[in-house]
Parts: sequence; structure tokens; C-alpha cells
Amino acid sequence: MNHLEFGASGEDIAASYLSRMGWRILGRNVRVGRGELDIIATDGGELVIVEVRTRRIGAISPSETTVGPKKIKNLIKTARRYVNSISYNGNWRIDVAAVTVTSSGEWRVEIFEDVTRGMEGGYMG
Amino acid sequence: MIRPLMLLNKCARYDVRMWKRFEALGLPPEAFIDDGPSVWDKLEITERNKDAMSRALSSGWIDRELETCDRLGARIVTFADAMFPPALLKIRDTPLLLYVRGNMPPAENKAIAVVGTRRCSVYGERTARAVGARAAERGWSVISGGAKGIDGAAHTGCIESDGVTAAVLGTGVNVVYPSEHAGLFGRIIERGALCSEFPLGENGEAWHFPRRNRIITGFASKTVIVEAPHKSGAMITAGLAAEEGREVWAVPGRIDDGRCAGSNRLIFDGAMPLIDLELLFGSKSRYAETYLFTDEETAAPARPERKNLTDGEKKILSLLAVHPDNTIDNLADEAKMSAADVFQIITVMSLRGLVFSSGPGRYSSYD
Amino acid sequence: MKGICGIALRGTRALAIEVEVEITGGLFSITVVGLPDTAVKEARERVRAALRGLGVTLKGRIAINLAPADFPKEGALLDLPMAIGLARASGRIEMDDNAIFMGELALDGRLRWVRGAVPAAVLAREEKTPLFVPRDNEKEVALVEGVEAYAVNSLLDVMLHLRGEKMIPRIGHKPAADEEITAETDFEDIKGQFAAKRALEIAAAGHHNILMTGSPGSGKTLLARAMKGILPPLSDDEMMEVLLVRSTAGMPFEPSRARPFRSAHHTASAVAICGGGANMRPGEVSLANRGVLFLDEFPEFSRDVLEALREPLQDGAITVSRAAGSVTYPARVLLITACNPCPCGFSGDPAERCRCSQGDLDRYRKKLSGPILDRIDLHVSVPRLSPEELVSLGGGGENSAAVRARVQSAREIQQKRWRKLGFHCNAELPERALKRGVKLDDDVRPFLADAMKSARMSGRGFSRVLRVARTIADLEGADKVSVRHVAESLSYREEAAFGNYGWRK
Repeated sequence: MNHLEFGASGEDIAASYLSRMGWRILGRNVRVGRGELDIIATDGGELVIVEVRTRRIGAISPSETTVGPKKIKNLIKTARRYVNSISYNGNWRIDVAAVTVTSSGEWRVEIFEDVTRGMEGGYMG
Repeated sequence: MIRPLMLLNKCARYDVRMWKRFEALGLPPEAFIDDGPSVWDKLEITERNKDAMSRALSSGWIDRELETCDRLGARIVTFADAMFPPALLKIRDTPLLLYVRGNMPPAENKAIAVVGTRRCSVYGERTARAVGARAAERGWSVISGGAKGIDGAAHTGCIESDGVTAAVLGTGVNVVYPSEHAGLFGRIIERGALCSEFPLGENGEAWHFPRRNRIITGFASKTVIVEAPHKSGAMITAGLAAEEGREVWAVPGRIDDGRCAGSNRLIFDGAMPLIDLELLFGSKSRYAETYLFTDEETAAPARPERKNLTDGEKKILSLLAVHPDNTIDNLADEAKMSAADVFQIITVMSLRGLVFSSGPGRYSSYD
Repeated sequence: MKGICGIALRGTRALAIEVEVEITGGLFSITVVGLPDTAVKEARERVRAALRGLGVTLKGRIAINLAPADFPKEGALLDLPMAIGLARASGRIEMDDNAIFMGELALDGRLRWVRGAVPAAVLAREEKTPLFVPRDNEKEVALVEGVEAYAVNSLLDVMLHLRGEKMIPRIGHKPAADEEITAETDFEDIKGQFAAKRALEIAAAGHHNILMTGSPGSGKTLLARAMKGILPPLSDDEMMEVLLVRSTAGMPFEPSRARPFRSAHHTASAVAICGGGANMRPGEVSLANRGVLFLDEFPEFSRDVLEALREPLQDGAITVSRAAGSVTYPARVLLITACNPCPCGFSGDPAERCRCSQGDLDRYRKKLSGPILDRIDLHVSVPRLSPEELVSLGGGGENSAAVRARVQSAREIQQKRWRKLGFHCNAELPERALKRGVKLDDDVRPFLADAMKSARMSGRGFSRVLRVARTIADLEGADKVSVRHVAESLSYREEAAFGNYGWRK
């Protein structure tokens, strides 16, 4: 399994997990300009951009920390372009889905909601 | 003969004895300058002093000095002048001349020297002032050094009582030292004289002062040491006065006060203790006679009016008589009065000259 | 003012700050505009956390505007109005009436004590608007009469109250009790010192500034502290002034009518003493307003500080100017100063010998004759007593309460006498008013003329003597100033206290 394929299988797991949580998946691997958004969904009335991070047990760090500040900045930029492109006016947020796959094929998904909120006062850019 | 004396005084610091040796050569005074070094050699004047005199002569210092004196209104009085204080002629090392601003105390006046520390106590200052004032009332001239503290107080007391005073300086007579005494010096010139054997413009070198002190005591028939620590200028002055056979008086001071250690020592060594101003000016000059044989009447000092005292005033005075240098607190406590009343009584009595402040927050009566 | 308001402080006055909140859709963000300082910006985190604790999750792009926009806002006291504004904008509460909120939020929604509650209460009273303050501020707000105020423990309390679910009782007016004033040191506990005590009594009665001169260990500081006990209690108006300043400075609350006593060290900066700094806090001279400012080691204070003290001593107020504007604080103080008689401290001492040279003494006296000296009416020497003198003294004399009663009645007499002229006390009398306003017994003039001559007094010294004499007469309840009053007054001159007069010719 190469790097991209491994990523793709994590996105599958995350998408199916989110639908089972009652979210509506609006799109996957949506290309916006040069960037790509993994999953676009709605959670109740709110539009959610989901970034999926996958790792196998034994990797050094938990998957969500692999979203660094530079990645977040790009993510927000890409998400904002997407939101504007569909002329959406409501509230929206960015979540991170952390998918852990063990060597025996078991998996676990954790959703980190509204990740930009932790930045002081929300994302100010 | 003023010019050779000026030269000799400036450059060689000699006294009258040197001039006498010159006169013994039988030459006219002008010869001292005209013959120059050939005469000086005969007088065994040192090389250094001869050099200094030659330089002064070639630079025309004498004329310049005389000019400055004119401008300043200062005069040069030589030992040969009639104005020269007669008492000063009697000492071993009579100065060749004195620079004088103002008028020398009349030669017929008796003169008293008052000296002491510059850092004196309130009591010392008051006593010096009283001596100055009493001397003035008795027609004595007051001689002192024009310094701060005791000296200044003696001059001031004399001037305030319209007396004649002379300040013998350790600097040139055109130098005001200490600078705070500019006003006092002005008044001294009006009421007497500033004098000095040092040429104009000379600053107060340390060695000037002991030299100057012999003039202070030489001037006067009596010397009063008001307050002097051990090893002070005033003690040197006392020694000089004693050597010259002049009367030395010392004001008794507290034995635990360093400022009086020297003056008290003088009493122990035989100086006359000044226990009453009248004794100082008494006609009899021997201490024992005066002390033993005067009756109460003449020995009693002139007291301020003590009539019409209120009971409170009497009470405070009696307390101060027992405990001088007392505080308002202790007076109030002992007299069973309020502090307000004591304050009020003290003020009224100090205005009447019955009590005085003998330290911060402390009071004494004039007895 | 309109809607949800907080306050900002300008001197001891509170200004209403309207908190406007707008929420639009988008990625979550909070922006605060209107010259907030760092503490106000940080409020976003506290407010968000506190609201989340109540189940209010903020969504979308949020803009908070603090109006008026041109006035700098500082500190944490805007936390609560911002939280309420957010709660209303996100539909959690309905609120149409105006109200003032103040309080610092903890992350769990509790409210913390803030400075400025008293000025806020005064503002709320003027605007007839309800005021919500943290519980810890309740006691000081209770002293302000006629304000509709509510003390709240937490953000939840406020929300429930505003939703009408659980009403908070209004804070009742609770005036300060007229309790007996007790200073740490009573006059009767200080042995002796009758002279200094008497001088302090006069100072207290006529509001005269005073200088105590004495060796180290003579008890100057103790005496100054005891001054507090002989001053009459604060009136309601005065108390409000004191409260306003203390509240503005963020000082803990004391429901006492005792007058403030502040002592400043000579190393203190001009800002610490006169006020100012980045947020223009009041200085010691304002904290001592209506009370006593004690400056020990007076000649050691820098020229700058003393120069800066001139204005408050003259005007009873001090203006602090900075780039951000200028504010005026009240600063009507009774100045007690103390100094040593000489640099080493032992001039005139019975036991220790003074080691100062004449030059040292001259320099010291020169330092002393600074800009403040002509504002000092009373000089008193506090000599250190020798052990024998101490032992011979009896007790401490009158207690502070007895002295205070005299001081108070003397002050009342003065207020009544000078009301028409617009003065409060004898110390304020200008020279022109002295001539006409102070009635003298017939024999006072010749006595004064005599005294002036023999004590070599200046015109200014003469005025000071008259002012103090007037106060002494007032302490006695005498209508006219008589010779004994003037005689006592003469002993509080600088020359008398330093021991320079009484020359006999």
C-alpha cells in the first residue's frame, strides 16, 4: 500500500463513520484551485469541512497533530474559497477526523470539532 | 620705606627682626632695593627668597600692588606707622606691615581677642556674641579671625552693640572667605577693619592661619577661647597668647562635649575660666583677686528685667534653673501644665530675653 | 447610553461604554474593535469559555464594537457586558432595557472583583440604569445611595435574572456605620511628646501642614500614625470621594469613616506619589485625599516629587496628563513631613554626638528649603529624650477621642466662619482674607509688632503665625485671637523649632 492509497482508505473509513453519525456527505476529494478538501458534509444546519488524517498503530505521533499551522492556514484558505464558490452564507467550521488503523485491520475514528476555534479568538485572517 | 617692606613681606615672609638687621647696616631704606642682591647677601637671605624678590622687582609687582590697594581703598600700615597697633609691636615676631581695609581700631582702645571653633554649639555662639557685645559696651575693640562660628559671632555681637572690631584674615584682604561672610565683612569695614599681612589676592593656605593667629593675640591684651576642641587653631592661638604673656580666658564647657575639650583643658592648665563677663573687663586683671574679693553686687551680670512675671512664667523659670536644656514635654509634665501653655510661656519669655532655645526643641534660661 | 453597557474609567469618573455585538455567518471568529487594550482582547477567551460552560456555543463571525470608539478601554471589567451582548446576539436572552454590567469572568463563569465599581454605581445612579456587579463588589456599591444595583455570583445568575427565571434581590443601601474611630496608636499610649501632640492637634484642627524635626528614634513616625485617630470622621460626601479614588485604584474596600493615612518613602517616583503611568492610576497623594500624607525623611525626596506636590497642596486636586489624555484626581491632603535635625540625625541630641560638618548642615538646610516649605505652617521639634528625662515623664495624657472632639468642633467653627468666603479651614486663608477675616484682641497688634522685630519675621511668616493663631483660638472656641494664642503660635515657626532665636544683645 503506497502513501496515497493508505490515505484513501482512511477517508473511506471516515466518510462511512460520519454518515453513520447522521451527517450528510456532500462531496469527497473536492478540488478547489490547487487544493483539495477531503470530505464536505453538513452536521445539522452547519456546513463542515472535514480534513482526514490516517495513521497506523506504531507510527510515532497521533494523527491529528500532523495538521500543522501551515496546513491549517492552507486548509482555511481552500475551505473559504469553496464556501464562497457555492455562495454559502451560514455558519461553517473545519473538523479533523483522525483515523487509526491497527495492523489487524481494526480502526477507530475521532472527530476534532471546529479546530480553528482554538486559535486565539477564532481564525482572524 | 614702604616698598622694601612690601617686597620683604611678600617674598621672604620675614618679620620685623630682619628689617632691624638691615637698619643695623646703617643704609637708607632705598638701598634695600637699589643695592639689591649685594645687600641681601649681607642679610643672609636665602637663595630662593632672593630669586623671588628679584622676580617681583623685575615684573613691577610693587607698583601693581599699590595701584590695586588704591582701587580697593586698602591701605598698607607698616610697623613704623603711628596707626600700627602698639600691642603688636611687643611680640617677638611683629609683622612688617598690615594691609588694612577700613579703619584700624584706635590705638588707645584696649583690645580683646575672641577665638574658637568654627563648628560651635548654640551656647558657644551665644557666649561669643555676648562677649563681643559686652566688649563694645565697655569700649574695648574686638579682634577675631572672621571665620564662621565663634569668630563670626564675636564680630557680630560687637557690631550690634556699635563697637569697633577688627578681623585678622589668613587671606588677602580682598578675599572673602568664607563666602557667607561677605555681608559681615562689609559691616566690619564700616565699624573697624579687615587686616592681613598677606598680599592681596592670597588664598587661605593652611600655613597662613597659625601665622595669622599671632597677630590676633598680639593685637589684644586678653584672649578669650570660647569653644575649642583639642588640636585646633584656637588652641594654637591660646598657646601664642600665653607665650607672649597675654591673659588667656576660657569659657567652661560641658565635659562630655568634644567641642569644649580643648578650652576646658586650658582652664585646667591655668587659663582663667570665664564665669562672668564682668570679670573679663574688670579693672583688676588677676583672676584670684577678682574672684575672691568682689562682692555679689559687682559680680552679678546685668540681668534682663524679671518684673511682672506670671505664676506660670515663674514656675517655668524655676524649672529651667534646675534643669537647663529642657524639653517642652518635661516642662509640661513637671509644671503640670499643657504643652500649649508651656509653648506660649516659652515664646513670651524668649521675646523678653529670659529664655533661649539651646538646641532643637530644648530650652534654657539665661541664668 | 443605550443597550448593554460596560464602563471605562476616566479619573474617578466612569464612562458608559456601549457594547454592540454583530454575528454573521462564516467560520468562527471574534473581533473586538474600539481601542481595546490587551486585557480586553483577551476577554474573548474568557467570555467564550464562560458561555460554553452555560451551553452557549458561539458560531460564525462575531464583531464586538466598544463605543465611543475613540476612548481607550482597559482591563477585565468589560468581560461581563461582552458576554451578555454575545448571549443576546445569539438569541439566548431577550433584553431591550438599558443596563450596565461589570465584572471579570473566570473560565467557569464565576465573576471576579473589579476596580471601578463605585464610579460605576455613581454613573448608574445618574443614568437611572440598573447595574450588575460581582458579588465581591457588593459592599462598596451598597454605600452608594439610590442606585439600582444587583450583586451576582456568576454569568449564569445574570442570564437567569434577565430571562426572568430567577430574580436577584436588589442591593440595599447600607451607609457606613458611625462607629468609633480607632487608630492603631492612641495618643494616650504615647508617653510624653506633649509638644508634638499639641502641634498635631492644631494641624488637624486647621488643616495645617506640619514638619516634625527630630533625631532617629524620637517617635516621629509613631506620632504621624496616631494622627489618624484625632481627625474627625469622614462625612458622607468625603467618604464617597475616598471610595471613588480607592475603587479607581483597585484598592480593597474598607467601610470605615477613618481618614486615609498614606505614607510615601523617599525613593518613590513622582508617578507613584502623584499618579499617572500607562493607565493613569491615582497616586499616593490622591489615595490620601481627605486624609493624611506622611513624608518621612522629607529632605531626601527628589526635587521633582516635591515640585509635583505643589499643585495638589495648592488646589486640592492633581491633573495627570499622558498621551491618552488627562484626568484630574482629588488630592486634598494634610501633609505631615518629618526630618532629622541634621544629616547624621543627632544635632542637639543629649546622648549621641553630631558628626556633621558645618557644610553638611548647610547643605541639609538648603535641601529642606524646597518648594513645599512655604506650604508648611507648623514646625515642631521632637527631641529624643535622655533615659532620665523619659523616666521622669508621667503618662500619655489625653486620649485621642478627647482631642478629636476638640478638633471636630474647631473644624465646625471654621466651616461656619469661612463658608461665605468659600474656604473650609484656616490653612486655606489667603493673606488678604487674613487681614480682614481674623479678629484680634486690642493688645495683639503691639505684641505682634514687637515679636516681628525681635524674631526678624518675614511677612509670609507673619501670615502663617496668624493662621495658626486663629486655629489655636478656634480650638478654645474663642471668637477673637488673643495674645496667648499668638504667643503659642510663634513657637511653631521654623526658626523656633530649630532653635535659632532668642539672641540676647
